[in-house]
Amino acid sequence: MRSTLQHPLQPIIFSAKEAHQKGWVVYDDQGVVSCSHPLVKEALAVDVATITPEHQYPLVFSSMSDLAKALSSLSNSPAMNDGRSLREKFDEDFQEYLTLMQSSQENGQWEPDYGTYVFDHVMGDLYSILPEEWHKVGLVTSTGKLLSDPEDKKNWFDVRNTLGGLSLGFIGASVGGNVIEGVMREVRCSHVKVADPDWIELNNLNRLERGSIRHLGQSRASRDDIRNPYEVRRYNKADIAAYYQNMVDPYANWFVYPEGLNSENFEKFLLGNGKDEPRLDMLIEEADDLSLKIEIRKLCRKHGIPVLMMTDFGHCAILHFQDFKNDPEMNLAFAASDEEILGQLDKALSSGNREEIFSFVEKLCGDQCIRGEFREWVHGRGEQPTSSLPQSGATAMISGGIGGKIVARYFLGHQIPSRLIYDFATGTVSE
Amino acid sequence: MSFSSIFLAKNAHLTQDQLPWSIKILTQQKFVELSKDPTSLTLEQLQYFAHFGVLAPTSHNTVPQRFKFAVEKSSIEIWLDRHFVLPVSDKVGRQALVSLGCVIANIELAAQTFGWEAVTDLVSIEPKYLLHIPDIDSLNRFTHIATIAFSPSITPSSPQVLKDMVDRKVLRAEYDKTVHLTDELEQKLYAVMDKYPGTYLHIIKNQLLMRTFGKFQENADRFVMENKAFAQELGEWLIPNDQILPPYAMKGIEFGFDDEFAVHIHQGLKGEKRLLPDQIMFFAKGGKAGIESSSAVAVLSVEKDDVSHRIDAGRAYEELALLLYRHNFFTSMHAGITEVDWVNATFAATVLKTRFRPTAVFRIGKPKRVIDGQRPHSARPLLEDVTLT
Repeated sequence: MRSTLQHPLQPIIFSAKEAHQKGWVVYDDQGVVSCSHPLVKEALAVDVATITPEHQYPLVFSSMSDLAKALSSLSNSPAMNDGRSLREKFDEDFQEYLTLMQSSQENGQWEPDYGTYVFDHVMGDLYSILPEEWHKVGLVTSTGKLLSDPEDKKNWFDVRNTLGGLSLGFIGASVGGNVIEGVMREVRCSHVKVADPDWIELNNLNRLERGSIRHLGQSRASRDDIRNPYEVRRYNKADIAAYYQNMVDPYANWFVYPEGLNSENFEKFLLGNGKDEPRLDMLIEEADDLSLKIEIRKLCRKHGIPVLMMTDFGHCAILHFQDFKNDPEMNLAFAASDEEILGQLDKALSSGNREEIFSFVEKLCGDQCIRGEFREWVHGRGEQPTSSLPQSGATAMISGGIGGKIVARYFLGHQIPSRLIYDFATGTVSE
Repeated sequence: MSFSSIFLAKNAHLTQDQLPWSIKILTQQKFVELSKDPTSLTLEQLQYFAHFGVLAPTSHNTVPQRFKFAVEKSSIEIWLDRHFVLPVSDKVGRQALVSLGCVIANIELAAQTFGWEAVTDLVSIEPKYLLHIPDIDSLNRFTHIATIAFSPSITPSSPQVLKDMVDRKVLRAEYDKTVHLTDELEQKLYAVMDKYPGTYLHIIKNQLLMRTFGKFQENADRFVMENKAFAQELGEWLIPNDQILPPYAMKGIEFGFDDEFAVHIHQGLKGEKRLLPDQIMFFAKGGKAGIESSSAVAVLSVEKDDVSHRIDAGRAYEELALLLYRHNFFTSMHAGITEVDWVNATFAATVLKTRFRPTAVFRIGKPKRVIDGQRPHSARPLLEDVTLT
């Protein structure tokens, strides 16, 4: 269990058994919890947090019963190393839990020494959930064996271990948030990094995964002067993305860079810190910053880290994949040499000329990417309510799904093309 | 003989709007030789001081300063030409006063170089006399803001500051974010503020805060540029690269725009040509990117938003800018965040956590590309053209 928060909104997790033994969680006769876990005290700046039953969510039994229904009991239940099947192990653990639950009831305990407490200090809610092993199984079991290597030689555990052990990094959490969702649903890895310096705005809600009015500004209590209407505290996109993903899998380790990426933290983001923060297995790049796009590719190529970029242009979701791990000679751009793209970047940044910017985009992404209504916008034709690049929320969502598939399939050994254009206006896929 | 012919170096390659930057840096001896009486200043000497005031940075390069010379009192009067107060982006004349503060700072520092102490007295002014006046023939066009009186009572200071005034330029380019302000330099910057009670310096180096600041600036820029009147005004003051006269305003090259784009943006902002929404977005993002590339952002806030504090903000800015330039740092002002009231209030409350009004906001850094540091100076008029009789 963690002794520090990896990001400010991170749910605090601690073993139920340890919590009961150390007195971190104590129930009174009415079921009100007094919580004195060190991180909870720190997060709320109190000596003891009081959590009423309205804010307690005991989920172990319900989750166990969910798995009891979901896990296959047929002969093809995945085999574990000790010879038991997954289902058999579950049955034993479930029985053990039921026994514990009964004895704790008889002893007057509110909750048995089983599973993990999760304290969501953002909402003030206390959850008790399954131990990590079963919680993670629950998150991936419905995927079944849809994911496998090209020859289908890996067993289910091998597949899940391969994907679960990955360390993935995301730059950009706006459209990138959709890709995070797609990847996490498909891959469910344990180490994730996300960098985005931007805050959430109303106009982002058309495409922000899980975005809602909850995220348009912090509470009045967060102000230094609670009556000052100009004091607006915002939520960082990366923090929110990590928070919601952690509320799906509290056991996952999220490393958040709310300051974005810069020359001082590029290397740590990519290569880790040699201690708790690992090196990336892949970077998923969803940044707006043109020079950052090139800079990060240079570093990824240098360090052999593959780069996936999902771009949404109008009704097209465009995949670009640069496997720098297996092809360290690859160009930085899809449709230009390094010299050309660097020269074009310089023009785009230095002249301020719009045409130079789109020329950069075409060199980076290749031709045929700008089409349909999006092409009309590029050429300044038609009405334009937004002062920004128009983005379809549905395309962003689809990009997320595609991204998830690609990441999973790459690490299971499938060939990934360097570019695919999914055009939902025409219903075509092209390279 | 005119000031220009005496003090400006002859250079056939210089266009008229660049000529003021060719001011000869006089030695102490040469300066003294301009007068027979070491206890009083001649017109030429006063003009020499004032010329450095011409070189001072001003909002949108409007050059709103005008001078009157009172030889018998060894003083220079600083006047505001209200026709050059921007009616849309500087509604109350705040930035015009900040600009005059820069002018005053340069003159004071120039005088000190030659051993003359400068004491500046402000004139009591009603706010309405700071506002833009459209009629160039109006009798109320000029407002007397301050008088700088000189007395020969101090040891001459280093002439380096004069060279800095001539060489320095506002640089709206991407800076090298790997360059940091040293603690020692930061302390020197804060020490400058001792002269300006009621005006406060905040130096922001934290990356997250700088990004937040950049976002505020972007929001301010996008808000105002979507405003037709503001865009029109900016278009009038952001001119094509080859436009020599009139000798003020900002050229596109100062923003890194090539000739074609400079014309396009000038015409687009004025409404003569279509400017697309994303072009406005990119323009605003450029300001944000510039901020994020900086070594630091500095904010001067004032405890009272009145004439004297606005002028002090300008004086402080110019002293800080010259000190920074001596350490090879450039600066670039960001007025959007100070003049859009709701952005200003949000920025002050959320980022600076101050109740005082941010009045001058500028970024600090060294250019990422050497070539950016070699951009031409912005235009300046000749001293005789900004002297009132």
